[in-house]
Amino acid sequence: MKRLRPHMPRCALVAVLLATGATAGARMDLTTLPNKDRSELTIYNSQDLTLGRETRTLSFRKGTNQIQFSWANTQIDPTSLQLDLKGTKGLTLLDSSYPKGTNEVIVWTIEAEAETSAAVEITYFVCGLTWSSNYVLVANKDETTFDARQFTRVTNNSGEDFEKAHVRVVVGDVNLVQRLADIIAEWNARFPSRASGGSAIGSALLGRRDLGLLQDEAKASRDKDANPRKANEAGLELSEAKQIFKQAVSEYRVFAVEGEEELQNGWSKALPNPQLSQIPFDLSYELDSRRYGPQVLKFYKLQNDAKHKLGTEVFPEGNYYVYRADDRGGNAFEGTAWHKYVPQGEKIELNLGNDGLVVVEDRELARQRSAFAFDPDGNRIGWDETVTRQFDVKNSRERAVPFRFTYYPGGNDFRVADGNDARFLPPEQNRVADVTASEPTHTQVDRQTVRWELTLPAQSTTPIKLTYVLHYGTNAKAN
Amino acid sequence: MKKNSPLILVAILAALPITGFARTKLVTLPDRAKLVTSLENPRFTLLYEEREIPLQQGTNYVDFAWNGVSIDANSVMIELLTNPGDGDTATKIIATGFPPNEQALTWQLYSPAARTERIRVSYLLNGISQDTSYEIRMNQKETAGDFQQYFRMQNASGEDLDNAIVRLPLMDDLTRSMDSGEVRRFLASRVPELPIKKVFIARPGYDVFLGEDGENIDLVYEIENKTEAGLGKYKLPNGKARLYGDDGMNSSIFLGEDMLRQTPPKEKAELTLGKVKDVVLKRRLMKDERTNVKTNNRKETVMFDQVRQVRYEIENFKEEPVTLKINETLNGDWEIQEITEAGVKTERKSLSELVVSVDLPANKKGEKAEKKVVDITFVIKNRFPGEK
Repeated sequence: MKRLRPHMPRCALVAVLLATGATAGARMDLTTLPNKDRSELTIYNSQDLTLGRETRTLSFRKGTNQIQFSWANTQIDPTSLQLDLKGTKGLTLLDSSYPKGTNEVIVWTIEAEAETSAAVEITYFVCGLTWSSNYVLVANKDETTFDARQFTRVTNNSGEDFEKAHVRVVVGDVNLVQRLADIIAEWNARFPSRASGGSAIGSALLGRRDLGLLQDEAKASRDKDANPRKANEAGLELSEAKQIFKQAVSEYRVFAVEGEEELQNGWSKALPNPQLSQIPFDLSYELDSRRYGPQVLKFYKLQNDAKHKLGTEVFPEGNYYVYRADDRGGNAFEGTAWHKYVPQGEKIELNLGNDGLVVVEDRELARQRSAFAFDPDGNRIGWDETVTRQFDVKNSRERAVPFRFTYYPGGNDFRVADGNDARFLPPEQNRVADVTASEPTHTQVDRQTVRWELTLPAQSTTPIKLTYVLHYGTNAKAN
Repeated sequence: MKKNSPLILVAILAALPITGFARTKLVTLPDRAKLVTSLENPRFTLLYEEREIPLQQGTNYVDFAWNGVSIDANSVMIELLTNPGDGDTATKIIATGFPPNEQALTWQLYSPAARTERIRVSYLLNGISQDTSYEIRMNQKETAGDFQQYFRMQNASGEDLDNAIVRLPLMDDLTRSMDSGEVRRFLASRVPELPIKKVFIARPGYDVFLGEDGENIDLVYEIENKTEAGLGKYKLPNGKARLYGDDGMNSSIFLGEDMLRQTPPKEKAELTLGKVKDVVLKRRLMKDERTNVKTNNRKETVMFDQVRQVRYEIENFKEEPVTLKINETLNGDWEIQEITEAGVKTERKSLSELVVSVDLPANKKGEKAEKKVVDITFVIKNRFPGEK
């Protein structure tokens, strides 16, 4: 079984230096393949979008110079390619051209006033690089604090191997007029690549580029075959996990990975963030049928603030794997939860699902009709129903637990229509509820929502009683 | 017999010559020092294994690969047990690599010295399921039973669990070997003399009156999940319960089975085993009238009160007194207007459930059974047309 395929970079930069006044044949005698001085990848997660940036130092001859950049079998947006001469005096970018007969090559033409050497920067958008965050939480046995670690995972399916790249990941929603994959597909459909033919400069340069690259690749391939793992680890010996620096830019958050990374096509790499220790949180069981359905769910709740030993950084959206220390020297798996992006100061609610240890039994004890209203023809158009229910909340755990119960007396799908709308609704479907009594006392969240926040003693049944009046039809309108 | 071990853990030592990284020359680690199968979460199986691995000074790579088993790759974790922490002498986890098209990952570890490190690798493994079942052996008087709760584990994961510690929520750790494809059952708890109450319950439909044919009467055993009875420490999970009865001939018969529904501590569980033949209930609708009828201008009914009289004719052919419970299903704003028989108890459990309890005397041998007739009249107020 072979895990690591030979390293095969697909992007290539070729400089063709054209002496002023040289003949067409003479212009191809100076082809170089300059190394990257610096490579940087800025990976977004809201779109399949990565901003690639390469800095290279090129030598220019006096006169017209051409630089070719090719990207065979990679997912680079051809319309995004930019060359920045970084303001070097005496260099002028004359034009950019995409040679006929190929859809994976761009040629920049640069006029040099004198022979010089300069650093240039190439930027482009590329698809197929993604990143995500995963979190591992281990709560203590009593479920009062947890230790947590965030992992930033970068996956490269771009078709390109990136060597010694500075990796930055971006949290935030970026707007695109058109998806990159669509742009690339349209480009390839409009400008299909041909195996032969094309312009003299295009085919000639491709030929030279192939030759130069093959020599280079052969060496790289030998090295990487000999040491495939090292190829994926930037060849550096690290005694500490890399730091991940976090910075706010406009409405985005940028997480920059320390140093350089080697990202081979097809690989993912997870980098651990520093551990957060003994973070206090609140355990809560909750029933809210409109938000979560009919089952009682277990939550870990906290706030991204100083009170919870947090608040200095944001947490990107991601999956949380939650464990709890058992009393036998191991961990019990509590569940997984996805959580959205958490800014500083925002609350975190990890929904760990239904563990069956807190259940609620709902019994309707009474329902009495009254306050009937009739139209002039004697038809019933409104009435009230006084309803009494009892919820028996049963806690099977050997510890007291907080319980939050949100209830909608008018039903999860209630509708209140006023004015003309009310005439088109059957009276049964037009209803509002008024709570008249509860034990223990409820909190009125809004017109149609009541809530209790209780502590359930260990292994107990706690009754909650509620009486409310449902106003139907014209009675609903009147109320 | 060769064990099926689709999990492979290998260490690759950075100090080896570069050519040593070919996979055929990888260092295979010693066998698992400890393997724990945690079934504390009924929906997920967490496995963790501990191993002693030799680390070279500097960077080390530890491969974890699997084949033929289903593992949530995102759940795979490594913990350093010998030299954890952030200090200079600690072993550090630098990064985790996930290769393309392989069920594997590679941890990059840094060790400040050549030494042995005990690591714990944990992961969520699919294919191991669990359920609970119960066996109850009733005494001859049917007042108590030998209650046994079993835990069954089915290993269809593809992984053989060799000398694994099985960690269950209700019991002490067990050490068992369990091959893939194997099913094992463990006795989780036992109460030799659990008090059990035998009751007869009829559950007629609201509008279904079988008259002379008689209603079905269920044979029900009630058990309480409470400490006084020998239980009550944990909830009883859902599971099939099989009951056997002492036949008085040094043997037993199968009484029947039912699903025991999840029962929290201090709650009661009901097991319905079969039908009762020696108690007969005939239920008849004697009256169904509308009163206080209100009509609109077209003489159409818009609301009314309903009066229903239900008759129970009950006979006990057993030579012992019994209590028959009749669970009536009702709806609307109802109340009992009249009960003709003294001593009949009613309990309004909810708006939709009324329990009528009737005590029946023992039948004297050779005599005709006494028939008890009970009439209950219900008034249901403010009904709308179309409502039953």
